[in-house]
Amino acid sequence: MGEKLSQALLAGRLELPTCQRCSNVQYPPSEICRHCLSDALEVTACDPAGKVIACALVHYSLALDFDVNSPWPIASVKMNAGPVVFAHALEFLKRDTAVTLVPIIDSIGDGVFGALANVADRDLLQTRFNRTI
Amino acid sequence: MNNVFAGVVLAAPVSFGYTRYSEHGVPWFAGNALAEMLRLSGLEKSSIDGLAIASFSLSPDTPASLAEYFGLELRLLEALPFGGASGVIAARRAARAVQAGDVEVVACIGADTSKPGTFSQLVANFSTATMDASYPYAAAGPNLPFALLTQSYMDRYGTQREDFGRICVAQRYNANHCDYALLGQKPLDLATYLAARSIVPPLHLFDCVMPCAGADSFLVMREEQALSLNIPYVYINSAFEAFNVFSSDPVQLRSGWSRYGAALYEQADTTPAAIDLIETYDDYPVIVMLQLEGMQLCDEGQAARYVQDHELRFDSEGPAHNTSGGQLSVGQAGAAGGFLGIVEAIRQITRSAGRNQASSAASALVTGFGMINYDRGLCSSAAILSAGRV
Ligand SMILES: [Zn+2]
Repeated sequence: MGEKLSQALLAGRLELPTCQRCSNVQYPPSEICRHCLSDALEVTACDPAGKVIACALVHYSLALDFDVNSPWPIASVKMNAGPVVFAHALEFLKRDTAVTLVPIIDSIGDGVFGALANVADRDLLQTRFNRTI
Repeated sequence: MNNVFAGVVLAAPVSFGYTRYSEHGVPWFAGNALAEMLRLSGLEKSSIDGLAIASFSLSPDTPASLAEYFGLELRLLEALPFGGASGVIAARRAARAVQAGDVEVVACIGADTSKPGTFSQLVANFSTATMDASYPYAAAGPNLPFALLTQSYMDRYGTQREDFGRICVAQRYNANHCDYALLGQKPLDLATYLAARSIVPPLHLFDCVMPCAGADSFLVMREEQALSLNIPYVYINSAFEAFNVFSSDPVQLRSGWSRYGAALYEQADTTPAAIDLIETYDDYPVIVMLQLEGMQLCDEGQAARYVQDHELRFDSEGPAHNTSGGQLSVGQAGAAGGFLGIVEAIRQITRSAGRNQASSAASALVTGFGMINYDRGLCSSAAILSAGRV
């Protein structure tokens, strides 16, 4: 399911595993619905809007290509669709900032989430990853 | 005295082999801890018929392979993949098995080794959820979810970095009096804490544990056996383990302690105010605060006030807290970190600690927390211990 989600994000679609029986949106990805235990989950489009729970600037990372001179903002976002997701951000986002989740391709070529206060900044966020792909 | 775990005691506390890096494997650490427990208790190896083991770095070996390595014939073999909650859970399950007559003596051991790079590997492959939903977000390991959690806690309650710092500074003072604490030679004051380099703000250097190697362990047996061995022991008055509590909270600012803490005191027929010694799980100082609040040492959101009003040192007036220095100053030896608190509590209550012996240590609260899966820790535990034969 994680693979399917990543593929949707790579294809530029903001989708999440969703239970076909009870409509619960699942994250982190799983093969079983956390609510009703159905295995009928499909990666489908969902409301990309949410609110920032908290944000942190990562100064220290285990990633080999991490640039310690440019702290990297990551936000936790409570989606209107239900789940909490971690997402890359352009800058430190205050608590309760309204954001839109967007699909991004990270520096190792995986599909990941971005969280933007202004959805027009998507290309700007994407370019931050472009150095090694 | 209540009788939830009547007739069962904990004894022979051992902290073994703490070091930053080691070439030795888990069996070396666990085996040495076991040998030391036999020496302390006077038991023969053949008396051990139960083993409860917590380890992250045992693989590709298993708990069953440890039975073979140590030449033990066992009737109970408990694997405890619960990280920081595992020490209390080991005591609880072992006590039940002894009480039921399934086994005579259970050796409970948390042990892990540490080589350069092993912590990074553990973090990168910790769980499916962390691989899918956490690691791709700047590969910050547990520092990311705990930074987000700490930020949420500060936003909600107005807590300042100084308040977290008080916990870290007091623990370092305790470590300065504890021989096996790896950071025990280094003093720490609040100014140094505040000036430390950023890791994932609000987390800075002294909010984060240093991974290391080591083992922590204790024995569980019937009281009559401990009496006949003529060794010091403690009672386990009450204990709980809980998993995935308050799962719909958007941020984890409480866990099993808030749900089951009141019943824990009730079962032990005691109150928060009557506790002499508190050993919390301190992977990050904010988690210490959640445990203090959940276990009713103070109200929700009031832990900053609590740490301002209490010295938290082994030699302070109020309750002593994390008397060995905790993981923040001893080091985090993987799953042994989940045993550090309960082993130190047994040592303190039986008055076998060293220079860091608390003057009042007749009763102890030990809390555990473990297995950060994506954005929260899934396991919580707590126990109340009291003096048996000291
Ligand atoms: Zn469902």
